Amino acid sequence: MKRLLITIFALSLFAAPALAVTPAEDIATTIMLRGYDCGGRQVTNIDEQADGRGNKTIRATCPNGVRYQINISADGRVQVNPLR
Amino acid sequence: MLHSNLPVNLLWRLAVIIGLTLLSACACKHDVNALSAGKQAQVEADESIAMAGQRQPRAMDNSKDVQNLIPGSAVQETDAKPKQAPLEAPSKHVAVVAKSDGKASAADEAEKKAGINLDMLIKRLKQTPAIGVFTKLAIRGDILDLKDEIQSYKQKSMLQSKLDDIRARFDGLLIKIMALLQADPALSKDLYTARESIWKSLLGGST
Repeated sequence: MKRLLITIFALSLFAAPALAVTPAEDIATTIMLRGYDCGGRQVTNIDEQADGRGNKTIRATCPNGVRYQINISADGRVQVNPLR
Repeated sequence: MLHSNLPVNLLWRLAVIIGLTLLSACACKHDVNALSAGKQAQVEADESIAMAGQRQPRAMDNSKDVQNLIPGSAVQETDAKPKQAPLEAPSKHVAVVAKSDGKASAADEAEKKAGINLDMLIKRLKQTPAIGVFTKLAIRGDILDLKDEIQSYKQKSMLQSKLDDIRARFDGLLIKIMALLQADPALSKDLYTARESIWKSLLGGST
């Protein structure tokens, strides 16, 4: 009986699907969307900077070890460049 | 028996847990239905994934190369273009272009049956949690690039000759978005159903 209850409780916890995307996944997807290899679905070492004009610069490391810089202009244009 | 062995408090907890389980089971069933609905569109899309996968990255690399060749092109674009809401405008011209076609294709009929509104579709795309903010911005940039390209071809009166290429790019972009919408299969399916309307609005909206 106790085991059954624990099972039901565990099932109820894991039943709801996880929809939201984390920033690490979002950045990795953006890198891949621009045609670059990332080697995984999540980046690490995210460094985010914004200037006064609304431009944003993000630096992140992919699982394959390559570090990328993502520039997002004030009007929403996204540019990805690998850092050497 | 059971009542005598277990305290009332525990029985209440048991009832709450069972209720939660039933609720989550209903939610799962709903997701499964949505998944099966989106599955058909995904299967049809899978056939052209390979083709689009070859074409789209090349097109993106080209645009990237152009941006690299012109220093500060992003800033120039900022100055040149008025601020535009993401993924907007094309829907305004749908009705006009659809009327000019005369015959309604099977895709149009399917879209009418589903009762899909492009404005709502755009709103749902903006709001879906299945795609992150940066990814949405990147997709928006791709769509705007495609629109600009169509406009430039129109100005040079080369649109008809380049229509196949542009359509291939559009299909590739659509498939990419659908692939990103794995966690929102209902939206993915609706996007696929409305693809002809989106295409027409893209052509009509860039005049």
